[in-house]
Amino acid sequence: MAKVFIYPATSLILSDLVARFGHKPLGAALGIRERIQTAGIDSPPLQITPEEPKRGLKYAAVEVPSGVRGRMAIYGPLIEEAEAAVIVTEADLAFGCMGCARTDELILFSLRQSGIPILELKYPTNDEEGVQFVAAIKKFLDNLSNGGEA
Amino acid sequence: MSRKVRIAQLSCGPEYSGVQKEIYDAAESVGAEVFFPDIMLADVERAVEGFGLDVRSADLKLMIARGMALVDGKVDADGVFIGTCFRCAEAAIVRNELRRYIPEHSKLPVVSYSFTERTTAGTLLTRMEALTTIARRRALLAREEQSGITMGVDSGSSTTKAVVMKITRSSAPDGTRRPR
Repeated sequence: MAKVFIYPATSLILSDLVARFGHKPLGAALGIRERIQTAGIDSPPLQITPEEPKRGLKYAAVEVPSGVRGRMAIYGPLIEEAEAAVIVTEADLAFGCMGCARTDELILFSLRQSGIPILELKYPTNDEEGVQFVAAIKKFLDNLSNGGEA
Repeated sequence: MSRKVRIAQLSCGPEYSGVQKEIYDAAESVGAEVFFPDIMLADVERAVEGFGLDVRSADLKLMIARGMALVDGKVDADGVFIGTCFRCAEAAIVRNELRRYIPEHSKLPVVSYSFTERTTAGTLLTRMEALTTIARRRALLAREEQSGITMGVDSGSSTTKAVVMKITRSSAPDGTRRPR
């Protein structure tokens, strides 16, 4: 079982696909769950305190907006942990919405720099593309199970 | 006890900057409550197209859609707080355009602010207080017809602005001066 970073990280469909094909999806739910399950209500709704943007300095420079650094404090450790990634570009908002385009650029850059196997797909726009989309993800994840690089 | 002032929050990034609670606390301390205008997903793309500002960040699209919902009267509010991350160029454009758009198309008072992770409730307090005061005392502060000459000066940390009003016409040709 490989740890697969999903992009958009908030996509429940992508998370479900990765889990369904036997791998562990690394996405927003994992990072946020860790924080909101901690006792206390220091900083609702996400329990992200001003400490998070400071931790994000590991992934982005100090002149980068605090929202980007705060997001990177969640996604950065997951990217470090990831053994593979599935990236879906030009996705519909309903498929998974990450909020900040600058963070998205940094996440994609970090993933491409990490050297892990990556599957990059465009969001499907019709049924036929949808079938090919799922098949490509299945093939990539199956190859990971076999120890290949997809 | 008077009714709480309902402030609609249009923002990008405060939860991830760790300052959302500071916004809640600042509002609470001036007898206001902050809420996020509810809109449908379909409204987002429609609003962005209607507004005419093609931004990449989904949270900024959401801000625009929520701003337009307020202007269209789909959501009731007494005032609007617009907040985005300091140093984000895309957000600064949206923040300033909404700051201009909402008062031009509605009677809602607006306050905007660009925050960092160091922003505290104390920093936001003066803005929230101004917003709630305008919302509560609109009848006293609003001047539909103006007679005589009135001058207003706003001296801030980096610039000083001045406007002179004479019989409902304003004049501020080069009223902004940097303090020495």
